[in-house]
Amino acid sequence: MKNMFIVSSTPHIKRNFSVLTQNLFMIIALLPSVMCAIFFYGLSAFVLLAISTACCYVFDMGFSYIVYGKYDHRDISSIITGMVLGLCMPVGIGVGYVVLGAFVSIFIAKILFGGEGKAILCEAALGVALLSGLLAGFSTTLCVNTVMGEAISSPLEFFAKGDYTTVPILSLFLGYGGGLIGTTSALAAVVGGVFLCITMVYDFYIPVLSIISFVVTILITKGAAAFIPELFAGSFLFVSFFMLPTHSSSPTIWISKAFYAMIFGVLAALTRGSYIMGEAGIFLCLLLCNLLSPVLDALFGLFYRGRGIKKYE
Amino acid sequence: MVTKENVGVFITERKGKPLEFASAVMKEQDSYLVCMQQSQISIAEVAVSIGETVLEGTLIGRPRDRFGCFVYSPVSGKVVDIIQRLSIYGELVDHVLIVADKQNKSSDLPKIKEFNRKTILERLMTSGIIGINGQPSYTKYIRKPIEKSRLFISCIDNDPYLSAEEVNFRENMEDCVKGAELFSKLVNVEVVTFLFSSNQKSAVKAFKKYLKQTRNRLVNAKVIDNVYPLSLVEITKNVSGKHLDDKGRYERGIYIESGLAAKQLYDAAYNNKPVTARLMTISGTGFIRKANYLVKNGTSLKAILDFVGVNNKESTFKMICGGAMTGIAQESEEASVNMSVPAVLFMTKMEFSPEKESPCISCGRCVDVCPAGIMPYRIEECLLSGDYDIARRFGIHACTSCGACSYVCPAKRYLAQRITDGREKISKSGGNK
Repeated sequence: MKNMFIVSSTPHIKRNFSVLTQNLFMIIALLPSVMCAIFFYGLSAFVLLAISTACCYVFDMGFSYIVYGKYDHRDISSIITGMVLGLCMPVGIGVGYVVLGAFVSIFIAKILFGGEGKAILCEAALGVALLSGLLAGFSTTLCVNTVMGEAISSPLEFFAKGDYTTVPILSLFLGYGGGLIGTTSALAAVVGGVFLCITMVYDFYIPVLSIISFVVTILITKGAAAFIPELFAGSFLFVSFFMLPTHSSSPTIWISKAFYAMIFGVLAALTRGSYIMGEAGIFLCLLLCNLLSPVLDALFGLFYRGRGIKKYE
Repeated sequence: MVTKENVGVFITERKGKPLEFASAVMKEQDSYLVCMQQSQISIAEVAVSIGETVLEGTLIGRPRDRFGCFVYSPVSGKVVDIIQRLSIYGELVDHVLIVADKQNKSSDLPKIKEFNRKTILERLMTSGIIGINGQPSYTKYIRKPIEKSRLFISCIDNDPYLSAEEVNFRENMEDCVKGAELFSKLVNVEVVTFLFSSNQKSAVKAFKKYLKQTRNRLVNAKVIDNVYPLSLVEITKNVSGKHLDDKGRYERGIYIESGLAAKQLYDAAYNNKPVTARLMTISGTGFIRKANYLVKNGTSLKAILDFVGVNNKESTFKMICGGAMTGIAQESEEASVNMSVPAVLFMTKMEFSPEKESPCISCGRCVDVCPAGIMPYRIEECLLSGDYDIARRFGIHACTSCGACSYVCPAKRYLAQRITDGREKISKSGGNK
């Protein structure tokens, strides 16, 4: 029996919650958006999602082996990146662009920065932002939803002109309007987001604060009639729930996270003032906030240098 | 102010924890190997010689320094050997091997004629009671207390496996209260507060009922949040609103004792019995008859294994002296328990499930739960890259090694371990590392 004892340092128990569990919860949370995308945009949405997910996984595995000489099979974050990337694309996008988006998301945003947990920018957001810059019709013609019987492009185009009556609010809430395939349904985003908050994958206050700051800014800049359509339209809710709280690209201290979320909400609301950046504006706001994360952490981290440290030194 | 004050982590109850609120006495052994190291910092010198006959309660060890404590024979018998062996803390110290004569003769401490500060302090000093932080209890009462001091008796088991404090309190409530009253005479306080955690509802209910029946106005109860850790610093934060070290507590007149220490002082003062045994939680899925046992000083881990029974369905075990969060894993069953060990855990693979660590995802959970107010993931980064100076600036010395960061880490990083190692390296190098 003497040789059977295992010796290790403390603590001897750990919470039954791993990165893998967290990623599996994330995939489950994305399923309502995936189902909405396939329901409202048909088979082409399914193909788009499948290509995007497969490409991200293959690129991650391949580049990890090439660059680091190993790949951890427990790391399924590339599947999430692929799903999110696919959900943030217009239905009419070409396969080549999807592959390019996956390459940018995985190789540039993840692998080049050091792999899992080291990406300082949200991987999928970088891919989408790049594609929106390359493709002129990313937010307009490519977004047109013809499955539901009528051709509707992104409602943000109408909102930028101050027209909040053409697109019904119910279509924005349920998701049968136009836009990026997985982000049109506010309901699906909220269901997935609430699941993530309940399972404690992400801190609930990040999406909550971003939504509050977004609504307040919209109320100030556009008035009371605008805030419900603006909140449900575009990718704001999807980004707030699934991309904004991404651990590696968001701050780590709770107060930094709160500021980060509020800055994002304000910026997202301000970009709604014009339609120059279209649907992609929100992703640029997110990338900008990602870049602010280390600054916020460095600033508020000054208060995290140990209580009573002088007594010990 | 940006730091969160209510930090810590909620740890769920464990399968291995004994649920029955009753203690049992461990069968008497043929021999006892009494270690002269009664806590991590408390070491004694052997006060007997080979061949000497001892009774239960005969002095066998005297304090080596100001943190040392008195050690008493747990059994009547004969000292057959004095050997140097590894203690449960991994230090080479003297052990006294006593072979029991099964005659159960005991030697009592002299009777106290008058209970005053001097006599109680002397009894506390000589009875071998160890406090919550591993120091002999008497050390904090030597200096004269300030006016308006406050005394707290903690009955909290701040570990998912432990229940010894609660069981001791429920079974010996009256003794604990009387012991607490003796402590109150040392610090000149009129009201003693018993501390409970929010998961000890039934104990609080029983205590309030007892207070109502006895109309005792000298004691009251306070319930604090059941978060881990609740070490002396965190308890002080809960009762005074400030994080204070030993010196700070003395300057503000805050005294904290455990319920077990109150019971031990009662036995030493009224029954004239020094500490020769303590209530320990024997727990973990590796044991068959999990319970709280009254274990004598010097009982070997092997004797505990034999008495409690090992779950033979499993083949991989981890034996821990202490709680699951801060206890010390034992290499073998050869060491013997001392009077500051609150538990012996025998875990199977399903409990400690060693998982390979994955890269940090910067989720910040370790920062959220850290009671010391540091950023463990950032310090770990510095230590891994050899930047010890930056680790110092990030407050590595404030770490209390509670392990809350490692517990919550989803990437299963060895944060607490690396930080503890790094802190020791920096301390050894005089801060020049």
